[in-house]
Amino acid sequence: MANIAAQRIKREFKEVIKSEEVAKCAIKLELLNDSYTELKGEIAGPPDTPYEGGNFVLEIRVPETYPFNPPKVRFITKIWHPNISSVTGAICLDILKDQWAAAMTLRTVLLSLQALLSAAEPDDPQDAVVARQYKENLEMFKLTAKHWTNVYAGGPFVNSDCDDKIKRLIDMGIEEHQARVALSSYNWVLERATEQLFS
Amino acid sequence: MASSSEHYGTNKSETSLAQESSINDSYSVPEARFECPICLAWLRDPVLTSCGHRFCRSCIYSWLEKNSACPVDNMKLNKEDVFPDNFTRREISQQRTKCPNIVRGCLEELSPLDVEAHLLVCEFRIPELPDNEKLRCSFVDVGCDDKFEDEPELQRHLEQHVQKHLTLLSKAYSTISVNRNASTSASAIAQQANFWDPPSKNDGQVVLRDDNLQELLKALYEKIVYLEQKTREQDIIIANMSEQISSYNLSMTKLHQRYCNGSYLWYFNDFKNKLNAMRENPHLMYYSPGFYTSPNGYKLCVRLNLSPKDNHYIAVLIHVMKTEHDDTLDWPFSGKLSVTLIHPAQSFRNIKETMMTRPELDAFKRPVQDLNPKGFGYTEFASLEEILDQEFVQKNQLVIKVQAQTV
Repeated sequence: MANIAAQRIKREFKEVIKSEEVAKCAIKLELLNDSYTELKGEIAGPPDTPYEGGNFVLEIRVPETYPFNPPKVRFITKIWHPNISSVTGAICLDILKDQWAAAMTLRTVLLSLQALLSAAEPDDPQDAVVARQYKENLEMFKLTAKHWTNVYAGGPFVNSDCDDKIKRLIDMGIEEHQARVALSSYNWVLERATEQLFS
Repeated sequence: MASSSEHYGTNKSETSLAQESSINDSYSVPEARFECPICLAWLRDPVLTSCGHRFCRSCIYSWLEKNSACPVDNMKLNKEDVFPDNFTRREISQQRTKCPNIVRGCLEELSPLDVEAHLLVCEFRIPELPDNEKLRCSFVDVGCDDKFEDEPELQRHLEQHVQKHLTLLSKAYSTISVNRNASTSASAIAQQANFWDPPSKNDGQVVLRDDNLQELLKALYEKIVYLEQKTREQDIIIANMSEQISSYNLSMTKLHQRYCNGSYLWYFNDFKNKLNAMRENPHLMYYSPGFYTSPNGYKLCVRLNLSPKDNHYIAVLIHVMKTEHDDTLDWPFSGKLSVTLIHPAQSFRNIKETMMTRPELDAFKRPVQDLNPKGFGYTEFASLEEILDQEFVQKNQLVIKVQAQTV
């Protein structure tokens, strides 16, 4: 790895550790190896969103050409969001692509991602299914996102209706996550999810 | 690009630089106006853009290779819009910072840009520590042999190898718990004492104690898990043993009944309740366990009930029972039977009746069922009045002795 990248990450790491967001537990950054190429980020779900109370873990890979190229970031924690793939955790955010600027830092990236959770961009989706639900049935989207936050990110809102329906599909021999995806994709209509799973 | 290569070259001292920064941060974290937004270090060959931002020359040129906007404000920017900022260069070169090794006696004052180069050759730099002066991992006692140059390195090791240390701890713990069986561990007592020590007034000490507490807690948790497993094992062992004991008891009783040689004592417990039950239900009968006239002899039992003719009398009858060795016996059973109602205090009051078997009776034929339905004895053996008045019943118990002899 080019030394400039390692040096930058080291300096940024110190900056993040000292930042007030870390003090408020809003963001977190951890080194995963000695060469400063792999890091683990964590952001708290913003208040007044379906993600409130959840903690979302991110995988951060720093390319050799950093900071001239953006870091590669994806969600490890499964999340229901129009701009984040519910399958791979891939993120559609301009600053992680063509709008990256060398003056940005891991701290600003984490904060931007937190902002993305507060303000989705359904017209520039990463997950078409989620984006369609967001545009066609916002309440259903919120319910689903809240449920996912509860199950995968430790959020506080338990939705027993969702849990029951998933249990029904599990009893039919469907794997839990697969059942959740199917139900989420079909607005929690059990019949349609079943139909899709068994077709 | 001589400056560029120099730039990258000096960064190789980064490791030592990061360590030193804890002593003196001022040169590694520059003031905002002297910091390059790209490498976040002191501006080296500073340049100013038309939009008013400063960068290292090499940094912004690298950025503009592929981009045409300012990294800070995204304004359109080309290499032609970047100018050397000699004013800032002069200011930085006038900055003087003390060598971080000042704590060890280096009095050198340098430009921040030269610190990294100087550190490599500074005669006061920390020498490579000899092995015995290196910091040992705090888990050295449980077998972590890693050594470190300084505190931050140790700290990093501690954070990164939690799993390894836990494994070592649990290994060490299982060894300790084996030893503890033999003698109470002195260290455990010491640790406990430590636990109850009054909190130190020194803050640093408190932090240390917190660490100890964490350790202690961790050890305690492991101990709990271990003990729970142990308890479960013991429970199983106990359950198996009590099962075994009850089966022994059963076979003991059977043996006892088998080897009584025809002389059997029937302790008729809970007399009052049983009497009441029999009064309420005249058909109720109580049977003694079976006993043998000899180890491989006839099996008999005693029956007690109220006389169907006159319920002021008790009936005591002998029944022949089926055994697995009936084939080897002579039928009908022939012998002398005596039944004694024992008086617990005065033996002269005992009520004893002796009778000889009568071969023509069904009662002595080879039993077809488990118990020959016909019995032989006295339907009016003794009157209840007599039994109660003369205190045959003691501790709510009536004792009946049966002696059976084959003839």
